[in-house]
Amino acid sequence: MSRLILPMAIVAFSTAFAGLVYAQPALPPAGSVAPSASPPPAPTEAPVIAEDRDPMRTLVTPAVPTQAPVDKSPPPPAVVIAAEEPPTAEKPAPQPQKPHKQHIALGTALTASVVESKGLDAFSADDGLAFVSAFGTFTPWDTKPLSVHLTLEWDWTKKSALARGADSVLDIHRLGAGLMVRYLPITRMALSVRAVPSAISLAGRIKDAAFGEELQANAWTWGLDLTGGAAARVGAFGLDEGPRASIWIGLDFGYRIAGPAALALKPGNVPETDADRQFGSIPMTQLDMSGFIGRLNVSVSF
Amino acid sequence: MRRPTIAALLLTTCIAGCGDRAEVWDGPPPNTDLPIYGMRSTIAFLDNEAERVVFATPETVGEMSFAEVTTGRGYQTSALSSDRQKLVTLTAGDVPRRKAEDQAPALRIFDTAASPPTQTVFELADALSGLALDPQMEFGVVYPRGASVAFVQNPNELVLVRLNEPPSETNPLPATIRSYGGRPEGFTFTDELLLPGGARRLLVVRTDRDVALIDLNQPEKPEITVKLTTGATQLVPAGIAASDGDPEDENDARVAVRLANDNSVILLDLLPTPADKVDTSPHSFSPVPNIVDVGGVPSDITFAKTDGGLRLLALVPNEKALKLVDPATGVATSVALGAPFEKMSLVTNIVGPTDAGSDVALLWSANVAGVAFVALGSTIGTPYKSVEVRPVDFPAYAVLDVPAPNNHLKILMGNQLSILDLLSRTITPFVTPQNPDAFVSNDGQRLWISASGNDFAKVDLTTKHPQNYFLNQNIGEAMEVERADGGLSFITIRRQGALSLSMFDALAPSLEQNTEYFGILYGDYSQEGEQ
Amino acid sequence: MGEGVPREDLATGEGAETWGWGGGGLPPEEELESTYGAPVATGKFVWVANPTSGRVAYINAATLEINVVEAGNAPTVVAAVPDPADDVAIVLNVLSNDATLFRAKTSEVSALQFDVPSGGNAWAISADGHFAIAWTNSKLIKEADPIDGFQNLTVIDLTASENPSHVLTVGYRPVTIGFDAESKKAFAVSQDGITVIGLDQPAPSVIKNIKLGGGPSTEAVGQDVAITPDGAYALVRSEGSPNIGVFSLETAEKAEVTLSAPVTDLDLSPDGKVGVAVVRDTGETVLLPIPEIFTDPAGFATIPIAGVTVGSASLAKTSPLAFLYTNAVPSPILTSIDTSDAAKAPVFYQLWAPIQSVFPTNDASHAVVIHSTADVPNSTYPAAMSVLPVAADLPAKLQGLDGPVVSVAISPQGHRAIVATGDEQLPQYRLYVAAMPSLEVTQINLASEPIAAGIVAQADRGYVAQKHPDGRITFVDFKSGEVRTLTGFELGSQVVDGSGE
Repeated sequence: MSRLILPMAIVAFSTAFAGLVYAQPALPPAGSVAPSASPPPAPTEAPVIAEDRDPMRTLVTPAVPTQAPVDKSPPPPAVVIAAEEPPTAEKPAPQPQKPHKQHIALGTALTASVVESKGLDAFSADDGLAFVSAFGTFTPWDTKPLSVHLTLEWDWTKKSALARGADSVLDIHRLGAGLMVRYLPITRMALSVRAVPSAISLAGRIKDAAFGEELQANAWTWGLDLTGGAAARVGAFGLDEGPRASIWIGLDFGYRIAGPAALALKPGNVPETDADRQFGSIPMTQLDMSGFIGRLNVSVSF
Repeated sequence: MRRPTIAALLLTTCIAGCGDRAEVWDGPPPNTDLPIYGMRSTIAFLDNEAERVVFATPETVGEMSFAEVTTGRGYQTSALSSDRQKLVTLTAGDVPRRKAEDQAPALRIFDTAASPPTQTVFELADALSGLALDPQMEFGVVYPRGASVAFVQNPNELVLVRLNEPPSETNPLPATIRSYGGRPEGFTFTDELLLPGGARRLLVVRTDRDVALIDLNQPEKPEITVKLTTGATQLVPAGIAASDGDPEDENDARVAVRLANDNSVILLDLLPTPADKVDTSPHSFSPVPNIVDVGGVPSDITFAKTDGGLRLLALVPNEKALKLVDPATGVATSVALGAPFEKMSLVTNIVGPTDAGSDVALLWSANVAGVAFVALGSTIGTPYKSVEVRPVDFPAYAVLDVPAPNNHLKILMGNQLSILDLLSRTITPFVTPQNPDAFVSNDGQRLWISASGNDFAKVDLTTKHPQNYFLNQNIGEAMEVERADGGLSFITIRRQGALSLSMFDALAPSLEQNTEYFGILYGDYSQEGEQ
Repeated sequence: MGEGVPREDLATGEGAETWGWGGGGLPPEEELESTYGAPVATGKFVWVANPTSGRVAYINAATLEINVVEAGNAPTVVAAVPDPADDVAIVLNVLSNDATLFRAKTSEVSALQFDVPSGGNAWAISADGHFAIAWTNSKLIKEADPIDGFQNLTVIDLTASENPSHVLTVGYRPVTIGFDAESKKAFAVSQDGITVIGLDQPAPSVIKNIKLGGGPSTEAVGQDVAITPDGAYALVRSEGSPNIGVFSLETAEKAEVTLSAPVTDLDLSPDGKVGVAVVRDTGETVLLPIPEIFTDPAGFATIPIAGVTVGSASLAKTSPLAFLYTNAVPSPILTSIDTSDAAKAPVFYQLWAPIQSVFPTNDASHAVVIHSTADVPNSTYPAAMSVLPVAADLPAKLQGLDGPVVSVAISPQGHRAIVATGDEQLPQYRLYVAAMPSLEVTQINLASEPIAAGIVAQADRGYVAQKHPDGRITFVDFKSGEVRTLTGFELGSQVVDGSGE
């Protein structure tokens, strides 16, 4: 049953995400002129336009008005028709006025991971891990439909349970640096694939009654996240004339390959009086962090 | 932001429903009940909740290696072989068995002579809960004991397992012994006896009202049942002794049955099957019962050589006497002891026989502050000359044997502890905490003493010199184990949490070399790595 | 079948029965420690009854295998029944008033029930095993009411298929029952005389009663009666009287033989040809030829025994020798005479303690003499025995005994004698085995008080039954000397070895 939950979740989130994406106004195709009976209300936000004026670039994310238009004229089309822009690349789009460069993105995410490894049993009553993540991406190139980004991530989670009657806690930190390839079919949507190798730190603690203090088990291992996903630009902000920042909400799914982590329990926090005591370590079941992952992220790119 | 919030909730719900873990993690381990065996070269922890046996083997002075072997479900009982190298467990498997792949009841033998330990599995047809091991480790008997785990159970069903032979259609061998209302309660494996028809070993099965003899040479034959009760009072067999008599004579082997509620001992003379029954009887021998009255309910019996020949010795505490019974005539000679001794042990092999080649017996009791030596070479005619009593400061509830080269010593255990020298007949007292625990090393050189605290002591049995040590943790159990590097380790175990142990070099204990291991039951010691 | 003498007779030495085994030597009823009666030996089996359990144990004396069979209610008195082929014994079930006849053929035992309406506590068995008579010996009943005459007895035809049991009435308080050699008549000696029972009729019946006393006021007690094996004559001695009455059991006529002084003992030779009367006061032993003495009461031979007091006689079974002694006064001299030749001078044997009783072997080559030590100065032995090599004319072997003698048995071959000793007052229970002709005496300690001793000739073993709630018997193998005690007879029958399963 557990194996079906993740695919089901993927389906559910994809559906939700699709609704999220396609609920946004679409950008007009390049060169087309939007028919309108009356001039559309001026957007309060300038659309982000790529600097190289590639026709493919004509996909512009719709502006999200910060204030509702007052006039009673028929509402403007939901999608700003790209035909308002001059077909030539030299002609900048009326909105925004300047191209929006997405060199840097900073975000936070909630990452779910299913780890079926028995090594987790001592610290968790179930196979799920929920990470809190922070990440950043960088690309030296101007925004193009297809771009490669360097991504840096940090994840953290903490699990606790009872291990044979004793309180147990597992802290997992993951630090990853990898690459993301992003494709923008439209300005408001990004499809991406990520490959992020990472270093994973595992710190387990069990409060054993015999010792009185915690037994600790620490290990490092490696991971490689391979995910694919999509993001939707849900907003933008910034000066009309200056750089713009866009807000993205994204969903990734994929798989984490990880090496087994050999945890070995040993007394920690040994008081000074017991400094001379020698302890042996107890090998625990190797913890393999491999498993399906899903990430819901919110980021700001600018 | 509604949509991301909804997505986050869905994500969290999904995570929470993913997977589960083995039930063993959900509750605390049965610390006090968890069987732990100090074997010759390893310590075995029967982690039955996790269906495994964990073997902790001292490799060097400060290093312990761990290994585990999967065992079966439904642990019933276990036992250690007399040489401490084999561990035998009995499991019930899946009860009830609904599918063919459900686990069957089984008897498992873990042989620690090899590293890692090897396992031999004998599948059984039924889930039984009792186990009796042959001291010579040729046979094991599985039988129903206590409450049944099955829907229906035959309380007289036994399963005989030849431990040195591989599993086969005839091994294990089930058998149902005749019942006259009783059920098996105790088992005694005799040494080889020269009987009519050849030498063989017998298995004597005690129920609450009769005894059965099973020929271990041919266990498929029907057993011989001796019903003990003829009158209104049900006689309850309580102990068995066997004698081969003259090793050259096939007609003088005997089995003696001590009764729990009668002044009599029933002697079974193992004689040839009568000529008129030779054609119908499956056996070449037949027990001829004889009742001998020893004057009081005996607490212990054994056969011994005296100056008058073979005698059955019966300790009768009520009469403060040792009765010597001639098995041929039933005539009893009484040796007055002056105290109600309850237990005895022949020590002839240590102190040597008397001039007439007779045995010497050591007597003790939990109610007598002393021990007695009875030289059976001067008992007929002059019984008053044969008893030598040595006072001890406390009643001894147990007497520990000491292996060679100090096998002339015995450890008297009571609320204190003393060392008895059988040769000089002297007693060396030790001042210890109340009710100490003690055990003797396998090589007979050391006596280890502890008393549910942090202290323990090592006594050199040659010099009687004690050395005291202090541990950083309470001592639950202690044992001495051979190390892989040829040394010996003294190991204490604490039954708390997930169990911990502390190891020393047994010959030169030093806190500097003391290594402690905590959380043993959390460990995964399987060879495959991640499971 | 070996011989044995009941306990009471050893104590007095007088009034010894001259019949074969008629009873089981029952212990007094006040001895409740043992629920088993005295055993009886047939060819190779020893039979022991347990009144409490209602079973009879039979022990194969050769293999010591014990089997138990069901009898009636309170089987108590066992008797051996002579049979040429099988081992046969009969037991009286005193509470169910019937008897069970057991026939052992190799490994199987069959049982047959007979009614005994009269009840009883003793058996008399004919020599051919055709008839068994259950009767009541008043001497075995404590404080019997004088009105109880115990006159009923049951004659059982052991070969009859219909109506085998017949109740007859005999005289007041019979003291002994016997048969003639051909089992045509049985004789009940009582205080009313001798009741003759005819057995060769369609149904046994009382033929006549022959009064032994002089008149209606003469007491018929204190008489010693010996009946010839052919049942023709009865010789009666009265205590203190010099007269011996010789009665024709056919005609009831009487001839009186008068001797020189009161007759102290009267015995009949096993073939019934000679009666031996001892006259202690005059030191004479008189040989009465039978049947001639009936027609010629004065035609007897007198053998004077000078210098020695003799008052009792003990005759060998297959030898004409008779042994004379006295236990009325301490006398260590034993005398032997040849009853077939009155002219032969008596032979005297010097023993070393006063004689109490004498048990010759069948061929009189040896004699076992029981001594009283009460009059032996400084002796600590309660009793003693001598083994006298009569034929070899060698000195007797004297052996002190640790307790009073309970029972003596001599093997038919004459090669062994066993003497059981010990009682409650002197609880050193022993069995002495005397070997002849070597005169070696072996002492065996017993675990409990002996009841009766016997010999199983076919197995060449002696046995002594002892008191024990579960039954105890010790066997001695005469060849090997091996001693084995069996205790718990019924326990042996509770061994199940899977035979036939």
